[in-house]
Amino acid sequence: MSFATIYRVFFKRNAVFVGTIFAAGFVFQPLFDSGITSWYEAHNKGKLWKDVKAQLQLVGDEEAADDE
Amino acid sequence: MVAYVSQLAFKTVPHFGKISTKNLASYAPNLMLWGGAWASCVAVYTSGWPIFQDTFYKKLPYFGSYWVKEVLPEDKQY
Repeated sequence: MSFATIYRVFFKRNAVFVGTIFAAGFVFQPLFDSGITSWYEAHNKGKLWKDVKAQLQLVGDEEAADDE
Repeated sequence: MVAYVSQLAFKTVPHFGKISTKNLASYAPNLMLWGGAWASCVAVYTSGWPIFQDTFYKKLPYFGSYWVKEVLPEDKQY
Protein backbone atom coordinates (compact mmCIF):
# COMPACT_ATOMS: atom_id res chain seq x y z
CA MET A 1 0.00 0.00 0.00
CA SER A 2 1.53 3.24 -1.12
CA PHE A 3 1.61 6.39 0.97
CA ALA A 4 -0.85 8.00 -1.46
CA THR A 5 -3.36 5.24 -0.74
CA ILE A 6 -2.81 5.49 3.01
CA TYR A 7 -3.34 9.23 2.80
CA ARG A 8 -6.49 8.88 0.72
CA VAL A 9 -8.03 6.17 2.90
CA PHE A 10 -7.07 7.22 6.44
CA PHE A 11 -5.98 10.87 6.52
CA LYS A 12 -8.06 12.77 3.97
CA ARG A 13 -11.31 12.82 5.91
CA ASN A 14 -10.88 14.00 9.47
CA ALA A 15 -13.74 11.77 10.68
CA VAL A 16 -11.96 8.68 9.35
CA PHE A 17 -8.63 9.88 10.76
CA VAL A 18 -10.00 10.42 14.27
CA GLY A 19 -12.02 7.21 14.09
CA THR A 20 -8.95 5.22 13.05
CA ILE A 21 -6.97 6.61 15.97
CA PHE A 22 -9.65 5.68 18.50
CA ALA A 23 -10.28 2.25 16.97
CA ALA A 24 -6.54 1.55 16.97
CA GLY A 25 -6.42 2.69 20.61
CA PHE A 26 -9.24 0.33 21.53
CA VAL A 27 -7.48 -2.62 19.88
CA PHE A 28 -4.05 -1.63 21.20
CA GLN A 29 -5.09 -1.63 24.88
CA PRO A 30 -5.78 -5.39 25.24
CA LEU A 31 -2.98 -6.37 22.84
CA PHE A 32 -0.33 -4.36 24.72
CA ASP A 33 -1.60 -5.46 28.11
CA SER A 34 -1.68 -9.16 27.16
CA GLY A 35 1.74 -8.90 25.54
CA ILE A 36 3.36 -7.25 28.56
CA THR A 37 1.60 -9.65 30.94
CA SER A 38 2.76 -12.74 29.09
CA TRP A 39 6.34 -11.39 28.93
CA TYR A 40 6.26 -10.58 32.68
CA GLU A 41 4.93 -14.02 33.55
CA ALA A 42 7.55 -15.73 31.38
CA HIS A 43 10.28 -13.56 32.95
CA ASN A 44 9.16 -14.34 36.52
CA LYS A 45 8.28 -17.98 36.01
CA GLY A 46 8.46 -19.88 39.32
CA LYS A 47 7.98 -16.77 41.45
CA LEU A 48 4.36 -16.09 40.61
CA TRP A 49 1.51 -17.01 42.92
CA LYS A 50 0.17 -19.64 40.52
CA ASP A 51 3.57 -21.45 40.54
CA VAL A 52 4.06 -21.03 44.31
CA LYS A 53 0.55 -22.28 44.89
CA ALA A 54 1.22 -25.40 42.81
CA GLN A 55 4.43 -26.06 44.82
CA LEU A 56 2.61 -25.54 48.14
CA GLN A 57 -0.08 -27.97 47.05
CA LEU A 58 2.62 -30.53 46.17
CA VAL A 59 4.25 -30.11 49.62
CA GLY A 60 0.83 -30.30 51.27
CA ASP A 61 0.07 -33.52 49.46
CA GLU A 62 3.43 -35.04 50.51
CA GLU A 63 2.86 -34.13 54.16
CA ALA A 64 -0.59 -35.63 54.01
CA ALA A 65 0.97 -38.79 52.57
CA ASP A 66 3.60 -38.84 55.40
CA ASP A 67 0.91 -38.53 58.07
CA GLU A 68 -0.86 -41.60 56.81
CA MET B 1 -57.11 37.30 -19.09
CA VAL B 2 -53.74 38.38 -17.84
CA ALA B 3 -51.00 36.00 -19.00
CA TYR B 4 -47.95 37.36 -17.27
CA VAL B 5 -46.38 36.83 -13.89
CA SER B 6 -46.94 39.88 -11.79
CA GLN B 7 -44.12 39.17 -9.36
CA LEU B 8 -41.64 36.50 -8.38
CA ALA B 9 -43.18 33.98 -6.02
CA PHE B 10 -40.53 33.26 -3.35
CA LYS B 11 -40.84 30.17 -1.23
CA THR B 12 -38.79 29.41 1.84
CA VAL B 13 -37.24 25.94 2.01
CA PRO B 14 -38.14 24.37 5.36
CA HIS B 15 -35.12 24.80 7.59
CA PHE B 16 -33.95 24.64 11.19
CA GLY B 17 -31.49 27.45 11.70
CA LYS B 18 -29.04 26.97 8.84
CA ILE B 19 -29.90 23.29 8.45
CA SER B 20 -32.25 22.29 5.65
CA THR B 21 -33.05 18.81 4.37
CA LYS B 22 -30.84 19.38 1.34
CA ASN B 23 -27.63 20.36 3.10
CA LEU B 24 -28.32 17.78 5.83
CA ALA B 25 -28.39 15.13 3.11
CA SER B 26 -25.07 16.36 1.74
CA TYR B 27 -23.54 16.29 5.23
CA ALA B 28 -24.96 12.83 6.01
CA PRO B 29 -22.01 10.64 4.88
CA ASN B 30 -19.54 12.74 6.86
CA LEU B 31 -21.83 12.80 9.89
CA MET B 32 -22.12 9.00 9.77
CA LEU B 33 -18.34 8.68 9.73
CA TRP B 34 -18.18 11.04 12.73
CA GLY B 35 -20.73 8.77 14.40
CA GLY B 36 -18.36 5.84 13.93
CA ALA B 37 -15.46 7.88 15.29
CA TRP B 38 -17.59 8.87 18.29
CA ALA B 39 -18.54 5.21 18.90
CA SER B 40 -14.92 4.08 18.90
CA CYS B 41 -14.05 6.99 21.23
CA VAL B 42 -16.76 5.81 23.64
CA ALA B 43 -15.40 2.26 23.34
CA VAL B 44 -11.90 3.41 24.33
CA TYR B 45 -13.08 5.32 27.40
CA THR B 46 -15.56 2.67 28.60
CA SER B 47 -13.28 -0.35 28.11
CA GLY B 48 -12.39 -0.27 31.81
CA TRP B 49 -15.98 0.10 32.99
CA PRO B 50 -17.39 -3.21 34.35
CA ILE B 51 -20.98 -2.81 33.12
CA PHE B 52 -19.73 -2.07 29.59
CA GLN B 53 -17.29 -4.98 29.81
CA ASP B 54 -20.09 -7.37 30.83
CA THR B 55 -22.58 -6.02 28.28
CA PHE B 56 -20.35 -5.63 25.22
CA TYR B 57 -16.64 -6.29 25.41
CA LYS B 58 -16.69 -9.83 26.88
CA LYS B 59 -18.85 -10.85 23.92
CA LEU B 60 -16.38 -9.65 21.26
CA PRO B 61 -15.28 -12.58 19.09
CA TYR B 62 -11.47 -12.47 19.28
CA PHE B 63 -10.58 -10.03 22.08
CA GLY B 64 -13.48 -10.87 24.40
CA SER B 65 -11.50 -13.26 26.59
CA TYR B 66 -9.23 -10.36 27.62
CA TRP B 67 -11.99 -8.88 29.79
CA VAL B 68 -12.91 -12.24 31.38
CA LYS B 69 -10.91 -12.40 34.62
CA GLU B 70 -11.28 -15.71 36.43
CA VAL B 71 -10.10 -15.81 40.04
CA LEU B 72 -10.45 -19.12 41.87
CA PRO B 73 -12.62 -18.88 44.99
CA GLU B 74 -9.70 -19.72 47.35
CA ASP B 75 -7.63 -16.88 45.86
CA LYS B 76 -10.26 -14.20 46.40
CA GLN B 77 -9.41 -11.67 49.08
CA TYR B 78 -13.02 -11.02 50.08
